[in-house]
Amino acid sequence: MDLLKDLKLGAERYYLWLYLGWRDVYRRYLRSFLGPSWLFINSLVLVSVMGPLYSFLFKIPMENYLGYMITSVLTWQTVAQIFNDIPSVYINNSGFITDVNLPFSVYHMQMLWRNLVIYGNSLIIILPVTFFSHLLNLQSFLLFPVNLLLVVLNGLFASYLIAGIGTRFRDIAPIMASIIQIAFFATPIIWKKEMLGPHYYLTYFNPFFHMLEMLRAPFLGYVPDAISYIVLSVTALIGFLLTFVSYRRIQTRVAYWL
Amino acid sequence: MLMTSLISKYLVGGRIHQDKKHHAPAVTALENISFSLREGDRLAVRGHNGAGKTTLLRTILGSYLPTSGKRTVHGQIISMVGMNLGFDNEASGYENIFIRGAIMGFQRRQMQGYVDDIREFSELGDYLNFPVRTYSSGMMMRLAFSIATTVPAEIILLDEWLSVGDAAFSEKADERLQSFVAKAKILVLATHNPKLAEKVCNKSIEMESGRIISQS
Repeated sequence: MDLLKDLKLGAERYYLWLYLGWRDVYRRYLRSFLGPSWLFINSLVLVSVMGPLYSFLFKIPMENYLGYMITSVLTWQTVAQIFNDIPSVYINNSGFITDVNLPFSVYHMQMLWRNLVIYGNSLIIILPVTFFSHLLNLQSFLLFPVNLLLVVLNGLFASYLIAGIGTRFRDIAPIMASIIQIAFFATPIIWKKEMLGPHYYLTYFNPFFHMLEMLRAPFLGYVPDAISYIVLSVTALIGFLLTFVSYRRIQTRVAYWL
Repeated sequence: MLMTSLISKYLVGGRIHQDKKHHAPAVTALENISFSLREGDRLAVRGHNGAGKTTLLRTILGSYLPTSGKRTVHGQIISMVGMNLGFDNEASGYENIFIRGAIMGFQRRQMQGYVDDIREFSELGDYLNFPVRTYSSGMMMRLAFSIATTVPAEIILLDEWLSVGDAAFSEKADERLQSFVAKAKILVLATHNPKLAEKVCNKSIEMESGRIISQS
């Protein structure tokens, strides 16, 4: 087994990960009254307090700021959840790995698809908010398929690598959780890149920033900077190569580490 | 040294030794394993607890890759150990037929053809409309077993002969498992029961602490 064969077999089983990922979301909210809306209620409470507060602190008019902030916080949830899920992908599928032996790409794609379904769900809030804030602009959706592809590819190879190591060293999951927590403040989510003035380029060193841009920019009416496309293409390629060369050392040993 | 003597006396687990690279005790679960099976072969794997029977099955399945040596498999393998995995407690019995089907590699429309047979054999009837969290563990086993033995399999790995359900059902299930296994091209059965091994299998290996000690 190598990475290419793993990906090919996983692609043939597309119906499996689409189905399992979808059921993950469905099951989580099955017997709750508000269903998947619970995903957004927390963020909306957060935004309703932080929106007015930060627009005052940053001295920006609310109407310019609120649409940006709601969209950013909700899309950030998707990026954050993907990276929080990544270290435990294999641990959560331990029974499958030892006794069913599916191609690993199935577990990664299931995790990514699950989070994209939740992302799709959050558009119920994002779309009306950005529409009424006059941020929506159809042209900015032209590259949206490319944006999604870049997020998926980066997520996929990050997941192979980090999930593999995260199975061997169980410290990776808590480390990732604290990185994500800090990243919420270090990434332009509640603040804007432009507020850094001449130091705006510092955000380019933050990989989460580029992924966030891919998912939120179309709804905020702009196309991400070229540098975001370049960085994510390069990281996807590096991720692929690293996964490819380490496949025998990491992926084929995962079953022993469970 | 103490450990080795304990093992040879009581026979549990694989061979324990000192791993030179990591300076820690390590277990060699399987060593010097070599055999080949072809169509029509029914292999019984026997041995004490921890002899390596399940590890051998998982190595054949491909979830454990040998650290040295080679494994070659032609054909689609199904491990009956995994037949309980992936059930969604909140989904109905019917829905779970399709979930299990997808896990075994069958799309929804392919699985559709097996639903009647599964309903009939499992005797679950209208209960298939209920979420499986409402099932008793016996009913759950019936469903899992019925799904697993309905779809065809080329190579079957069985960790102990399955016994499912109450007295009446377990007799029926036994017949079904026999005909399911008979349709397969290759069977590997790990078991402690020598009578069963003799009845079902035409080949047998006996394992001790990760090695094959006799083969027939």
